[in-house]
Amino acid sequence: MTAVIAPGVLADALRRHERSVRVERAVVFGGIVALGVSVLLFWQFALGSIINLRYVSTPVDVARSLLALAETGDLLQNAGVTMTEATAGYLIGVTVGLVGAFLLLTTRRGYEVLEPYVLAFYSVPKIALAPLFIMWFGLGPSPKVILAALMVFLIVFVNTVAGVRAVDRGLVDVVRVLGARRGQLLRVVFLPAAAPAIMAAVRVTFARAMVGTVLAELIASTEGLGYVIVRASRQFDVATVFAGVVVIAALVMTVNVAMRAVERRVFPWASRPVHA
Amino acid sequence: MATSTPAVRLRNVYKAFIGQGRTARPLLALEDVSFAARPGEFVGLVGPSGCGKSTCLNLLAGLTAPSAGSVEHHGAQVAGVNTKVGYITQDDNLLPWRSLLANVELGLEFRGVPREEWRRRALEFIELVGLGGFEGHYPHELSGGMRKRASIIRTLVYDTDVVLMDEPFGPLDAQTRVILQAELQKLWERDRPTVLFVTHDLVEAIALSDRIFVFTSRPGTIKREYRVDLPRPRDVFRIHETTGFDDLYDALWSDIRAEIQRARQGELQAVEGSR
Repeated sequence: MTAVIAPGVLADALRRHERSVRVERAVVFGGIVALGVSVLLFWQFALGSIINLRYVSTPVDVARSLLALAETGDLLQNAGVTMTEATAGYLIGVTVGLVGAFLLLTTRRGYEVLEPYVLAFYSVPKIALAPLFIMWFGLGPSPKVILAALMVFLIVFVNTVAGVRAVDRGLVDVVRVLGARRGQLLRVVFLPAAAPAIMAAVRVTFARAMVGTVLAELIASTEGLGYVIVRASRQFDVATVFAGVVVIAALVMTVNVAMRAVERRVFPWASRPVHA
Repeated sequence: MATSTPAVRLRNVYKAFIGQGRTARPLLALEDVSFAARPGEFVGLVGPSGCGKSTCLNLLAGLTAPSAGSVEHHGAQVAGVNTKVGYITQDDNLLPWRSLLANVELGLEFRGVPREEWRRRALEFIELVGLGGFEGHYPHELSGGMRKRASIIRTLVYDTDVVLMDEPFGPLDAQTRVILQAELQKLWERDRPTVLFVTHDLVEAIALSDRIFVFTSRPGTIKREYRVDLPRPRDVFRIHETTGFDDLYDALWSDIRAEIQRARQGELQAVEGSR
C-alpha cells in the first residue's frame, strides 16, 4: 500500500515545488520589467508636466540620439577609444596591485610599515588628481589610462593583501610541518586561499577603471565617450548626454557579466564581499 | 638506532605566553615539563583544559620555541619547523581546493618524492582506510570521518616515525570516534610510529595508549604517569569491559578531578583578591 502511495506523494511534492518556484520567478521578473517600463513611461509622458523637457529629454529622444551617434560612426569610434583606455588602465592597475601585494607579503613587516600610507592614499579622491595628470601628460590617452589604473590599483592591492592575511593560521602551520617551503606555501596555500577575494576585486574594479577614464575625458579630451558627453552638454543636447551615459553603463555591465561567468567557471567556491 | 635514544623528549621545558594588547602579561603555560617517548610507543597526554598539552605538541613540531629547557627529536634539538614529524590537529586542515588524492599527496610532493611514487603510496593508503573511489572528491564533499581519515593518512603516507595528534577525533560524533580509534590502532600497528596523542577523552586514552601522562592544571607539568598494560591488539569497542580498565579509569579521573578543583579554587582566589 505505502509502496503505491509514496511515489505519488513524491511526484506531487516535486510538482508543487516546481510550480511555486516558477511562480516566484515570474513574479520577480515581472516586477523588474514593470518597474523599468513604468519609469520609462513616466519619463516619456508625465515628467514633462513637472520639469521642462529641455532639461530632461525623453526616452524616445535618447534612443534617437543613440541611433544618430551609431549611424555616423561617432559611437563606435569614441566607445572604442574609451574602452581601450579603460582596459589598458585596468590591466596596469590589476597587475601592479597583484605584484605589489605579493612583493609586500614576502617581507615580514612591510605591510605594517606601509599601511598608514595606503590608508592616506585611500582617502585621496583620485579624481582630484586628474587635472595634475592632464597638466603633465596632455590631452592624449595617458592621463586617462593613469587615472583608470589608479582607481583599480588600490582596491586590488588591499583585497589581495587582506585575502592572503586572512588565511587560517592552523592550515598554514599544518602545511609547514608537512614540509612546504616558502614558495610552495605561496603556491599551494596562500594563492588559492586568497583567489576568491582577489577575483572579486578584479571583477568589480573594471567599473572603476571606466569611471576614471570617463572622468579624465570629461575634464579635458578630444575623443572618447566622456568627450561625447561634454560636447553634447555644451550644446545643451540632453538626449545625447543620456545616450552617452547609457552606452557607458551598458559596456560596464557587459564586462561584469562576462567576468562573472569566467569567475564562476574557474573558482566555483568563490563568492565574497569586496573591500572597496 | 640505539634503543636508549628516545624518539622525542622534553627536558625541563618552560613555556611563557605573552598576551596581545595593552593588558598583556606573561602567562606560564608549561612549568618544568620533562618526558620522553620511546620509538614505537603510543603515548596519551591528558589533563584539564588549558594545561599545555597542545603546546607540547607545537614545541615538538617546531611551531613555537620553548622559553627554557630543551625539546629533542631523536636526540637532536628541534629548531624551526620540524618537517620530520607528522602533525594532526583537531581541524582536519585539508586544502579545500585540492581533491582527496591531491591532499594526501601533499607531503610527498613537498619532499620531492618522484611523481609515480606519490600516486602509488597515496592510493595505497587511501585504499587502506576505505576511501577508495573518493580520490577525486573535494573535502567539502566528504563526511567529517572521511576528512579525518584523509588528514591522518596524509601524515602517515610519508613514513614519518613520530606522529603528533592534537585531539584528532574531538569534533567527531561518538560512533565515528570509536570506529576511527580502531582504524588508528590498526594503522599504528602496521608501521609502529611513535605517537603523542592529546585527548580529553580518558576512555580513548586508555584504549590507544601504552603510557598516559596526566598534566596538572596551568601552569602544566606532568602530575603522574600511568602504564596501560591491557593486552594488544585491543578491542576499542569493548575496551571498558577489559579487566583493569575500571581501576585505571578511576585513577585517571580522580587525578584530573583534583586538578580541575585546584584550578577552580585558584580562579576563585584570584577573583576575591581583585575585589
